[in-house]
Parts: sequence; structure tokens; C-alpha cells
Amino acid sequence: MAEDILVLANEFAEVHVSKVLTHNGVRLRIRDPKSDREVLLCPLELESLTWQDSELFTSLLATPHGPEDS
Amino acid sequence: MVNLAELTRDIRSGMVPAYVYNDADLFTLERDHLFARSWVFLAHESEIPSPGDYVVRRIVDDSFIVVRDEQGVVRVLFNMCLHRGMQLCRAELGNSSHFRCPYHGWSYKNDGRLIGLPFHGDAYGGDRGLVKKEQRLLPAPAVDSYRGLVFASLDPDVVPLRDYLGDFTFYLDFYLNQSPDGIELRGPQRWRIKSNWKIGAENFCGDSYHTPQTHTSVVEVGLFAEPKANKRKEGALYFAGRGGGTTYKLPPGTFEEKLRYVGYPDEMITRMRQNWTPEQQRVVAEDGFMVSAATAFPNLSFVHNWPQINADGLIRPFISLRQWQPVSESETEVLSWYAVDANAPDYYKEESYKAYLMCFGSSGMFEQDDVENWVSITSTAKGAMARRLLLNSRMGLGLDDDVISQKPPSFSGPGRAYVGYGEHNQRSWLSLWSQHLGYSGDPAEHSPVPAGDAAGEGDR
Repeated sequence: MAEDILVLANEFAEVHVSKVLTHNGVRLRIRDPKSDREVLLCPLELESLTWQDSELFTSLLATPHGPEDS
Repeated sequence: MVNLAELTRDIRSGMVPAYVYNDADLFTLERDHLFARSWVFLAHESEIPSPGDYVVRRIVDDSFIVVRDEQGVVRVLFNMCLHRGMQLCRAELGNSSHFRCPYHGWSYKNDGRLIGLPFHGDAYGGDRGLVKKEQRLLPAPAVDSYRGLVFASLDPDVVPLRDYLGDFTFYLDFYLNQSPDGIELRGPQRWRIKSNWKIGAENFCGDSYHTPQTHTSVVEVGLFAEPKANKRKEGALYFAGRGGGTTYKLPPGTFEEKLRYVGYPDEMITRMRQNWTPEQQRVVAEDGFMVSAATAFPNLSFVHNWPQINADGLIRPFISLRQWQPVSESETEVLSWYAVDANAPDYYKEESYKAYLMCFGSSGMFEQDDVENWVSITSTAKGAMARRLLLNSRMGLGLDDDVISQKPPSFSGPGRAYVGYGEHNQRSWLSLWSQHLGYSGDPAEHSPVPAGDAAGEGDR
């Protein structure tokens, strides 16, 4: 089914956000069109984001190109 | 090379060497001394109300990110990546929790901390080669604010902003403190003019004399009646601390009647009554003056006029902030904001914004009148003949430096005030300017300004 895509952007990044209906439920898709990577987050995962502070994302951004093989 | 001793003497005598409005050596001195030591306006807090909001602004050649970090703290960060010097934020404004350099990807939290770089382990051996924790974007050497106006200075030893502005804050509050929540800004509109930056700054700090001539058509088309020659000269010119400005004389009446005449609705007048000090209220109610144009040294100006905005004769006042951002000795970037009391009713904000657009901003009638003159002065000041000419800026002084200008019958504000036409303010501004060019010659050559021009801080 057609998704309503919400585009969020600033000068550093652009992401496409949409609601994805699964067979039995719903997820939020966050997609980076440049790298074609995406993540599908369930309501429980999204709830857990509400108790994070900005430092979580600071630690995620420590590798600016995404995960690095070590 | 500039002869600073001679220049200082000429400026103090009110005879202004014409070349100062287009000279590359002087521009270098202004950049390296004046703009390196003064407080320079960057942004208003209402331009970055939420965490992550940022604007990019300059002090001459230095670009700064003015950002509200995730904790709500306003920070002023030099806009240059610590790695290879890339300009980090290239958009003029935006919202982001982190800044990622477009060149190699070094990433910073919006409080300035370096928080990530690609292949830290592979490329640097992790913290063995580069300790991320110790790295942050270079902060501006000094940051301070007054009623939401955020200033920075390149001089870490600069005096506190309040002390720098001095008694000029008394007059700033007519623009910035009409209600407890202060002002909010829209804009800026930004454009470049082939004019030296000093001309606008001087004009706004005291040139009521140009209004009836330059802005004749503003009166003729019925946009703003006040600049008529006979009326304009009834206004007072004041200078206090590091700023000065012009006023208009108001018709007789109470505080409320005078502010209604200017076009303020009663609910805003009530808040001004509660918010302004008794002395500030007396300037309006008893002395009968209303602030118009003003300049805070060096390059931030204000204007408050009350044009007629429709065919039915509706009068609405507006406030504009403008910055004369130097680009070179012959070019200026103008930033023009609309400002309004944050608590003003919506209909007022809409009508006042229209008043602003009709008068100032790139479409404004006053703006276009002014710039034509300033561009012409700048181009005429470039040649060899301008080096032989001292411009007569002695209005208000007799041949023996005696004061010809009259003091107002009563004046409740601090500093120095005269009624009628005079160039005391421009001379005060230029004296400040010349003091900031790094001249360190014989102190005897630092002759005081003529007594009539002394700002007399705190002297009422």
C-alpha cells in the first residue's frame, strides 16, 4: 500500500519517515535515501526512545559513516 | 599609510577626512583593532528559541554558529572544523543536535564537543593518537547578552557588555523592553550595498538633518508626516555611553495620549507603563520625546517610526534592528530585522510588520532613499581629491568650539541631549571610532572632544 512519507532534513542529513503496516501490527520506518539504509522500529522500541537523552544519539554518531568493522 | 595622529586630531575637531569612507588601510585597522576589541551583535535569542536552533553570523571575516544547545544554553562557536578548517555549518540557519563536517565527517554535538570521527581506531589508533574528549569547537572569546541581544567579542578581556553599553541601555529599553517578555524578531533580510559601513552607523546615531531633504517623498506621498523640516528639528538628539540617537517631539498630552498618537493600542501602552522606569516614562510624557533612529557602537542600529499604513489614515509604529556588517572599505552587508513586543496582539504584529516593510527592509522607501546617498559618498571618497578634503561635520559648534545647540527645556534621560539639528552625535561616534583604531601616539594628541560633544555618561 502507498505510504505517506514524511521527509525530515537539515543541512547534514535527510531521512524519510513512514508508518509501515505489518500483517499484525505497525512499525515506523526511518530510511536514509543516500545510503539506502533503514530501520523499522516497533512501538515498544519507540517508547524506549522517550526515556533516552541526547547523549544516546551522541554515542551513536561517534562513527559518522555508520558502524565500522574492527 | 594612515597617519593616525593627524586623523585623530581632524576627527576631534569635527573635520572628517573624506577618505575615511573608502580606504583599504583604514579598513584593515578597523578589522584588526575596532572589530577585534568591541562587542559585536550576532543574534537575538528569539531567533533560536528551541534546542538545536542555530543561525550563522559574522564578525567581519570570522563566521560563528550561534546555537541553543540541547541543555538550552546559547553558545557562540567558531564555524570551522578542527580537522581541516572546513566551514561546518553552511546553511544560514537550521536545527540540529549535532554538526557533521561535509569534508571528512568529523562530528560535533551542538555544545561544541567533538563526538565522532570516521575510523578513529584505524586512522588515529583511537585515543592513542587523538583524544576526542579534549576537543571542542573554538568558542567566541567573550559572549554576553542584553535583553536577548547576543553579542560576542574577539577580545577575552573586554569589559562586561553592560559596562560597555553604559547608559545607552536606558534608551535601548524603549525598543527592547515594552513588556516583560521583550521583543521577538523576524528576518533578517540581508543584502549588500556598495557603501562604507560607517555611513549607516553614523546616520542612524544622529542625522536628523538629512530627513527633510533625502526623505522628502516619504512626506509627499503621505507615508510618514513627521520628517517635515520644521517638525523634525524639534526632536532631541541624545548620546549616552556607547550609543546615541534621534527622537521626534510629540504633541502635548499624557503618556497614554502620546503613545496613542504614535499608534500603540491601549493594552501595549498599559504594559509600557508597568515596564518602563519613571525616568523613561518622563522622557515620553513630560519631556515629550519619542525615540526614532539610534546606533549602538560600532554597527548595530535601531529605528522606530510610525507611518500611515492605509488610505484610512491608520498609524502603526514599527521597530527595526539593522546591522552594518563590513565586507570591505567600499561594501557593506545590511541585515535588517523587524522587531516587535512579544506580547503585542496578533493584529498589531501584522500591521506593524506592514509599516516596517513600507519604510525599511529591501522594499522600504526610507531604505532606498538612504542607500543612494551612501553609495555615492563611498565612490566619491575613493579618489585623490578626497584625500585633500576635510568634510565639515561641525554642526552645533561655534568657531571657538562653543555650543550653539540648545538643551531641551527638560530631559529625563542620561547622557547629553540637544534639541534641533546638530552633529554632536556623529562626532561622538567618530571619536569612539578613532579611539579604537590602535593609535598609541603622544597622549597630548588625544585632545578631548569639544566640551559640547562630551557624552557625559551618568551626567543628567
